[in-house]
Amino acid sequence: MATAISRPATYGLMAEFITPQALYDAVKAAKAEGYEKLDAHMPYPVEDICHEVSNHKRSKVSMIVFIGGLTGAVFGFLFQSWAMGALPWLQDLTSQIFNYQGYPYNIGGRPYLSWPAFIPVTFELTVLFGAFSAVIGMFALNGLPSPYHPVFNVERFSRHSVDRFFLVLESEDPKFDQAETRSFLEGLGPEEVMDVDW
Amino acid sequence: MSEQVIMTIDDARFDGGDGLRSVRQKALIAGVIGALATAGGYFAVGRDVFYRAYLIGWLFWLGIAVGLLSLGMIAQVAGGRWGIQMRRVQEASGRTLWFFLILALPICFGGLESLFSWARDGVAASDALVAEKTGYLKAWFDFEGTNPEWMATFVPGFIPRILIIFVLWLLWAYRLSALSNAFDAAGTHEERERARDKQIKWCAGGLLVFAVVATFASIDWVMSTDPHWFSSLYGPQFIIWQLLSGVAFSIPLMIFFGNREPLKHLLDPKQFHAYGKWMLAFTMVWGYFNASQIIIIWSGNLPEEVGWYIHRSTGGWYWFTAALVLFTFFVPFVILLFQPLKFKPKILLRIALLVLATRWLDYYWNIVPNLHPDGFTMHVFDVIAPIGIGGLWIWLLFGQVQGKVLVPVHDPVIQEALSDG
Amino acid sequence: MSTPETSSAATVGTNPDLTPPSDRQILSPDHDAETLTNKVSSIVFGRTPLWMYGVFALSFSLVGLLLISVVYLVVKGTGIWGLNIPVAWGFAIINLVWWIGIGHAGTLISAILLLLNQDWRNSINRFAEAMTLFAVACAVMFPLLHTGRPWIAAYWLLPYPNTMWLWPNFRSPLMWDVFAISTYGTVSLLFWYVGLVPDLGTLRDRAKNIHLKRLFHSLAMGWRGSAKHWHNYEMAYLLLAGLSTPLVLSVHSVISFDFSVAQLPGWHATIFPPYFVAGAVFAGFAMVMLVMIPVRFAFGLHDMLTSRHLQNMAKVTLVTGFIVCYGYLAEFIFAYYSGNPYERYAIAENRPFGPYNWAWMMLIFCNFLAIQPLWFKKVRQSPVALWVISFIISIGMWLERFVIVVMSLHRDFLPSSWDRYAGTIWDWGLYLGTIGFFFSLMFLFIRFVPMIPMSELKILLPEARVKGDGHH
Repeated sequence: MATAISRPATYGLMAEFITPQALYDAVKAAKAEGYEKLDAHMPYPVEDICHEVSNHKRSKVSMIVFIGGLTGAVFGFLFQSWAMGALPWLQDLTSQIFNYQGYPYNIGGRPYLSWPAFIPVTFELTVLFGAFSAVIGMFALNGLPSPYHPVFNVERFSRHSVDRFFLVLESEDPKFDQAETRSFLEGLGPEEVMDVDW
Repeated sequence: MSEQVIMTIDDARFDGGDGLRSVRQKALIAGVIGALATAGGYFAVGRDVFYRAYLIGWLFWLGIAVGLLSLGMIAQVAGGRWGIQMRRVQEASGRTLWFFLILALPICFGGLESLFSWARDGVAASDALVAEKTGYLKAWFDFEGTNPEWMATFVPGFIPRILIIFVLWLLWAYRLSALSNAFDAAGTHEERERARDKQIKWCAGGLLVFAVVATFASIDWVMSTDPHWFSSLYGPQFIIWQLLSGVAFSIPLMIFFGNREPLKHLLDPKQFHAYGKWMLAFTMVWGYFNASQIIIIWSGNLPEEVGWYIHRSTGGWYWFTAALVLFTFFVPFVILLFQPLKFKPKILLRIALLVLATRWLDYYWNIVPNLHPDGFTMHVFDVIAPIGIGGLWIWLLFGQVQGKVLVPVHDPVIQEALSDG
Repeated sequence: MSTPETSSAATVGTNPDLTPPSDRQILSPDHDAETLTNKVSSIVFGRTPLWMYGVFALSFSLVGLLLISVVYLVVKGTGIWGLNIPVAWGFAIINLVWWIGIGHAGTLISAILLLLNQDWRNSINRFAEAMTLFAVACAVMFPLLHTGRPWIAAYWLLPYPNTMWLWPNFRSPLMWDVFAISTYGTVSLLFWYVGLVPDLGTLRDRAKNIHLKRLFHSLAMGWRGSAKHWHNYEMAYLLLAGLSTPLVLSVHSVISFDFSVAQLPGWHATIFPPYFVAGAVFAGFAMVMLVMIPVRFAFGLHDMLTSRHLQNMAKVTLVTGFIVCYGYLAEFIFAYYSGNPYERYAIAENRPFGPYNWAWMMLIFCNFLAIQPLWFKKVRQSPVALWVISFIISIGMWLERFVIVVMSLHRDFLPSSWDRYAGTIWDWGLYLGTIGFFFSLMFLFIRFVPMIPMSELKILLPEARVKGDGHH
């Protein structure tokens, strides 16, 4: 990107804590101080920190899954009915668009629209679509996969996945000031405060 | 574990007060008026409508009572924080079961022929399929032409079976209450542990017994209204009907007790959420059982089985069936999927009332099309009979909690919940 | 509970003097986040223990048997199996049902127990989920191979129209199977992978070798433990559990439909779906214990897979075992109550007194009598006893499918078409081969993937609790 000129010198500042309680208190303090662009890193999910950092908003994943599952259900039922030659309106529709329609099967005198027999596949597709929506939705909302991220430039950060807790205040925050923010973080009693290079 | 006394046994006693008195009074008035109307209805609407309305009302409230007791037992066996708060109230419901045994008398000694075609004279002689089952489908022990013969002596009929079923239910109900008292009376940690182990063992064994009992209950009281039809999934379905009733009825109970000592501080939104989850789970199991049953019977297409569904999908019954599926499964299912709603007692109460209404519809759907296969039928009396039974039962239930210890204060889970505040 | 000040950062490596966890605990109280990480990841990064070469060689030799059986099958066709009319479904379907059933415990542990807030699942779920995946892999071999030409089986099985633009028949339970099993395999894989992502991040941060680091970084999708990410992650994980729970019920129900929608006495029963599901979970828990007890011993994981885990699994086994026995009882009751002479003969005469009554009696022994000791706490506390019971159950559940499949088919409506059935050496070869395949995959998993979910186990640490005001 050509806008590199306006970019701050570092990605932000990182403070390391030993306990989740300390990180939680630090997040609260940073938010009270007016920092908005912040993130916390931890080896396991601590519910209260997650809620605090996400501003107590519910995750959008549930809505994505609901829509995905519903799509799977509707698609599953309509597809089976169509392939077995039921639902004339759907057959007309596909004839017009694809010049192709489902073949009406008569097996054992069962009706074309054998809805009891369509329950299992409809259900399976609901779950399949729902599960894919959950996984893809979660990764997409998180912006993953992301092969590169500045936080990995900090050497001590490798302990974030073991037993340490990190608070990152980003330099793009209007309140961010290299010296002032650093002294603010140091006031929170961290193990160490580190610059996060780009 | 540090023994920190936060609530004493005397604090845990429910003294009731005005709220309890007012509920009992209203229930008694409704019950007496309903019972009088029911009794009068016998002469006004005729035997057939009377007995089917009575049977459904009986099954409906019995389902709630046994469902509550079973839930308490499940909570005891499964452990965890969701179930322990309401357990004493659920046990109280077990101590009312004798009421339903008394209410079974009119069915046994008056309504048998109206409700069950197998009990009528001459049916076994003219119906080959019923003749094959006379070893089971009989009022007492011996029945003319009992088939096979050995069943005449060893297999009890409909009326002795009711007695056996209720004796087993009552045995567990009173035993569990006694064990709870023993738990409260236990002085030392070791004694309590032993009492708790005993409770868990009885509950686990009881659930096994209840499952078997429910199977025979489902055959006798519901399935055999059509003596040809059978479905081996019916016992588990009967259990789910009762559990769903119990969970749904727990919500208004929780609202009542959540406003009063001693349960006031123990019934928080998390408890409601847990019960909402159980309601969702049981609703899904209901859907699962019904879907499985129709898939198997519809695909098998055997004449003695599939007629049951044909009766329910023709005539006016078609719309009744559609409404049943919509309101028993889809509506509560979709609403309960949304997590925040399950934390709100008021919304849960509405869903619970819907679930209870569909419980009644479900019993109706399982029984009445067998008696009236040719077309939909319903009578005002169908609604009146359950009100009478329900009023009297609620009066009894609230009588059973009065003055009783409602919080097992020595239970470590309760200790933890109380200290969390 | 106090926040241990002792969890100093200076402790490196596994602490050998861990207090053994008590009967109720699911984690040794001496563990902290670092010791946990070290212990679990050391299995992945450490040297392969010698015994593992031995057991791997053993199970891999069975994979050789599998390959030979498959090649011979492809060359000669399904005539090498013991199948004939009337028993046209034999080992292939028995093994399919058996393997899928074994897989079900994995989903139950990871999904249902998560929804029920049973935190003891956190240390065994990855292991059980891996079992699910490998069991499904073994299971799907059978429907593919029983077509005789597995390379075009996909064409017959998948929902794909033929040259005449005819679609497969969606009213057939065999078609439902394809959807159920493939969905099950896919969703289990997704669930397993999502659960693994944070631990892959941990492995990346622990790896010394740059190539390994890159590999784990890519597999972890660049996971960086951000609170915002955890927030969505937790929701997605919970929803996956919510989806997997009905899924696991549906899969074995659909398998049971293969039998129950038919009109054959002994197959056509509405109890089949829940009865099969319970049987699946029953067999699955037995298999989890069968594999986990030796692994726990071999790697000294008593501090993470505690006695409480084994006891709880024993309890679930007992409960599901009783549901299975309820199924046997219901079959008998309704065989009589149906009034149908064929039903009565198949269930009440042919099973206890017919030519295969040995299988039925062993079934009652394995699935009913052998689980009764689990009522006693002493038995539940003994890993050896649990292992023996699990072994018996695994045999019993195989016999259950044998009873259902073979004993219902070999004597149907017309006595003139009655016949006997026995598996041939190739039937057994294929079956044992899949067992070898399963264990080979299990050993590879144990060796190369963190078998205990580190991030989920750390949630159980006492210091993971935060006292905040943002509680709902």
